[in-house]
Parts: sequence; C-alpha cells; structure tokens
Amino acid sequence: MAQEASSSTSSKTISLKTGDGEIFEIEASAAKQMKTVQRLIDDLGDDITIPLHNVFSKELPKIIEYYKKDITGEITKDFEAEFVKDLNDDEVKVLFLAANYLDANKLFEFLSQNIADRLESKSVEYVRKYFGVENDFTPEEESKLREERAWSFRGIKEDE
Amino acid sequence: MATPTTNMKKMNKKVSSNYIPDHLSFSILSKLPVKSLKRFSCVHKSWSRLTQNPNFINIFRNNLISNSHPLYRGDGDVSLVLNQFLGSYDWNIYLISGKNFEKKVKLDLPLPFHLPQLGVIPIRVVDSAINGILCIYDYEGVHTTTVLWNPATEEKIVIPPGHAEFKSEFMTQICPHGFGYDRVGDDYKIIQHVNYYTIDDENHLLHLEDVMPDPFWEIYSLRSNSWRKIDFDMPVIYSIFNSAVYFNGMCHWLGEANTLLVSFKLCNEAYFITPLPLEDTQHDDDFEVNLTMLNESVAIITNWKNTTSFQISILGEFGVKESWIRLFNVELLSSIQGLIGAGEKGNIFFRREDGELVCFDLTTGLIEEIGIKGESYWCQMAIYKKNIHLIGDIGN
Repeated sequence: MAQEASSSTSSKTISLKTGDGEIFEIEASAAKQMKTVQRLIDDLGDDITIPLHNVFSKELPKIIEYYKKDITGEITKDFEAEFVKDLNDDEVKVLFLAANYLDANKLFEFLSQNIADRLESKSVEYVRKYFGVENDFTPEEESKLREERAWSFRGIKEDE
Repeated sequence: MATPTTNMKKMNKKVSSNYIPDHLSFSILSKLPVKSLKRFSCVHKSWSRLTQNPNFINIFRNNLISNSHPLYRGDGDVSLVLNQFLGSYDWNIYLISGKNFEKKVKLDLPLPFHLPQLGVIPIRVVDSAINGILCIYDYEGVHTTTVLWNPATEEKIVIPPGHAEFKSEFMTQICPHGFGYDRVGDDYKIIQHVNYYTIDDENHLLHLEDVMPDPFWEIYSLRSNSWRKIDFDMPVIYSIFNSAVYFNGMCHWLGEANTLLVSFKLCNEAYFITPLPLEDTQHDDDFEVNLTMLNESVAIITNWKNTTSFQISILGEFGVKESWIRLFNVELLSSIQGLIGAGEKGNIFFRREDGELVCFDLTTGLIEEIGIKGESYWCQMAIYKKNIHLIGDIGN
C-alpha cells in the first residue's frame, strides 16, 4: 500500500490525530518534512490516521501552516516574522517542543533562533522560569558569578 | 531527538510542562550573542560551564560560520579582493571569485602608484572594501598618496594632504589606520596618525619633543573633502600586517604590541579599548595576531610563526577582556607562514610554506589552493562587492 502511495505523494493527504483527539489533514509532501510523521507513515501506512500523542490541537495547525508554505518554496523572512508576530514566549516554546517531537528540522531551527532573539535581553530569573530550571547556586556562589560577569548585566532590567 | 519525559527524570531538575531538556536548550543558547550567554551562566551550574563544553561550542561556532557574511546576502557581484606582493615593485590586485577560486581577474592599478619602468610601488589597502571602494595608499612614499578607488567604474579620488608637516630636520610618518562609512553622517571617512621622528645611531626611531611637532590623529571626510585633527590618545597600530579591519561603522586595529584592540566608531568618534586574551608567553614577536571579521564578529586568528596550528577567538563585548570566546583550535598538516584573514563563512586564508596562498575551510577541514603565490605577510584580502555608482554618490 505504502509503495503505491509514494508514486503519487503530491496529491495525497495524510490524517494526523492530536493528543487531544482532533484530526487534521496535511499533504504527504509536507508530512515528509516532519521525520517523526514520516516514520509513523512508513510503519503504519498512509491510509490510517497517524496518532501524535505529544502534539495538541492548539499547535498543530500552526505547524501545518508553516510546512504548507514550505512545500511551495515560499518561506521568506517576512513570512517568518508574520508567523511568530502574535505569539507570546510560551506559545513559541510549545511550538518549539512540538517541532522537536515531530523532528521538523526547518521549523525547529527557525523557532530556536526566534526564541534566542526573544530571550536576548531578558533577566536571569525570566530565563530560569522559561527553561523550567531550578537555581542550583548558593547565594554566595551566585553573587560571586554575577560580580564576575557584571559587564553582561549592563543595561538589562532584572526581574522581568 | 528524545522526548522531554525521559530527560526530566535523569536531570532531577524541576519537573513541569515548562521544562526544556539540555540538548534542546543548546539549540536556543547557541544562537545567543556572547553577552547574553555570559549573563545566563548564572541560571544554572551546568550553564556556567557552557563555553567550556565542547558539544556546545561546536554548535555555537557552526552557527556562526554557517551564517553568510552580510555582504553575501542579497544579490550582487561579490568576490574577494587580494593585494598580492611578489617582490619589489611587483604588487598586484586581483578579484577572485568562484567556488574553487577559479575566476581571477587582475586589476589595473590607478596611475599615481605606477613608477615608469619599475612597476608598482608598495601599496596597502586600508581595512576592507566598502561599497565596492578600496582605499589604497603607497606604503613607502614620503607624502603618502591615498586614493579612493572603485575598480568597477575605474573612478578614483585622490585624497588631499592632511595636516602633516615636512621639514628637513625630521622625518614624517603618515599611517592610515582605518577607512569606513559613517551611516549617520552618510560620509566616507579615513582616520590616520601622523608621527615625526629621527633615526639615531642604532637605527631606532626617536620622537624628540622639543625639536618636532607633536604626533596627532586626523580624520578625513569625503563630504567636506578635508582633514580635521582630533585630540585623542588612542594606541597606534603596531603592525601594518593584517591588524586592521572595518565593519559596520567601526574601524578596528591592534595596538600596543598587539595586546590591545582599538575600536573607533566613525559616527560619534567614540572609541573602545579591549585587551586581547593573551597569556604572558604570547607577548612575543613570534606570536602572530591577525585581526579580522568572522561574519559579524570581531575575531583574532593567532598562530606561533611557522607552526602548523592556529586559533580563533571572537569578541563578545567591546572593552571587556573576559568576553573573548575561543572558538577554534586548528591543527593542519602544512606550516603557516603568514595568516591573511577570514573570507566568507568558514574560510581562513593564509600563506603556506611553499609560497602558495591557500584557503582553509573551517567547516570541512579542507585546504584549497587559490592558485596564486605571494610573499609573507604583505598579502591582504577582503570581501568586495561590486558597486557601479559614483563614489561621491554616497549612501548607495
């Protein structure tokens, strides 16, 4: 079955089911860009609905939107800027983790850069919360390090 | 790529839907500028060791060299310009392009630099090509002729003399330090230093305060076509070999026996001094320091003369010695006899022991011959983008 389908991938659509039970369609050529999806198709065939346990209905449409643009070869800087314009930092993070789960490299790299741009001028506390990381320095250790790196704190608002 | 759940248990960090595992955070962190990276070293102990983590540095530097140089983005005829020295009066400027440097065009140098029957006098190119314009001066001339030259249109502008005095009692040395574009003033500028000296019995250059005028800095503005003295106490350039570069409105050079980086901002004439990250043993004339740009970062390429290895560090923040980050330690099979500089992406140019000018690709680790030979140290290279507009038509 899978063999026959691959000869006409350009018009074939694949059904994806999110972790919260919703179903979305994408074109087979877009599915190819998400290696996790492609592996599932290779294992399960392209006629059944592919289950994506760790991706949800909030983010999948956005990801599909990106790859829909990608298969027509039209991802420009303007498109990318528009794509993330109305997303807050947490929404971008969810997309980033989903892109990782789906092994969608192009989107993953783009979102990595976008998150880096958003975090560039943020405070240490903000970044800790964002990455879900606990502070493992003692107060003395941390203040010593902050003093050594004082130049990197210039112009940065703390406790944002 | 592993899913978040497995890593959460291993790391023993706070478990939340928030959590981003280390190998994923590397993807984000490796795209941050150095200043942010150093600040975030306070986030967690493992983050404070990021710049010593070879995996992280690998991702970070691959990011850096895979981004194209700003000049290569967009369209336009981009190539390398090479100032080649083959021997007395044998100077040539080439435009080199093509994936394997196969396209080489020798340029006809503008007239002020020709000596009939002898050839071309020693010339130096100041900094890099800006908007397709080269700033060339004659290295051994008494009055130092400086010319702005656009090879594509063959337009040349001879820069008028500055405030230097010439008298029989002393020698005058004029040293152009930088050529660049001031975006705020929409103007091309040249900064140079004038020094007066005499030579004593042991061939030392001496500046005698009572007998000679004071040395000074001056800036040339193309818009006003005039020089203006500026009263700054900046270190002068130590070596004329590959220790000056221009990028994005700032002229940089190495001074104080190659221990300091001076960064001069053309629009407001502010300057920064950043000590280089050298060990005591490296304050040695056999330790070569080459200043260049690695894409958009100020970088130094260092090498003990006639050895097979070189190192590259980039600067994170002007004025901050701790913000240099060592990115590359490269071991080659051939001996390096004169680093030239960085080109596009991960290309490092140098002169090999057999006299060939070669390019080392930091990404692939391969060496490619350019097909041109050159004499040690005198060769210069810069990225050049063809521009067909008039030099005076500034802001194109």
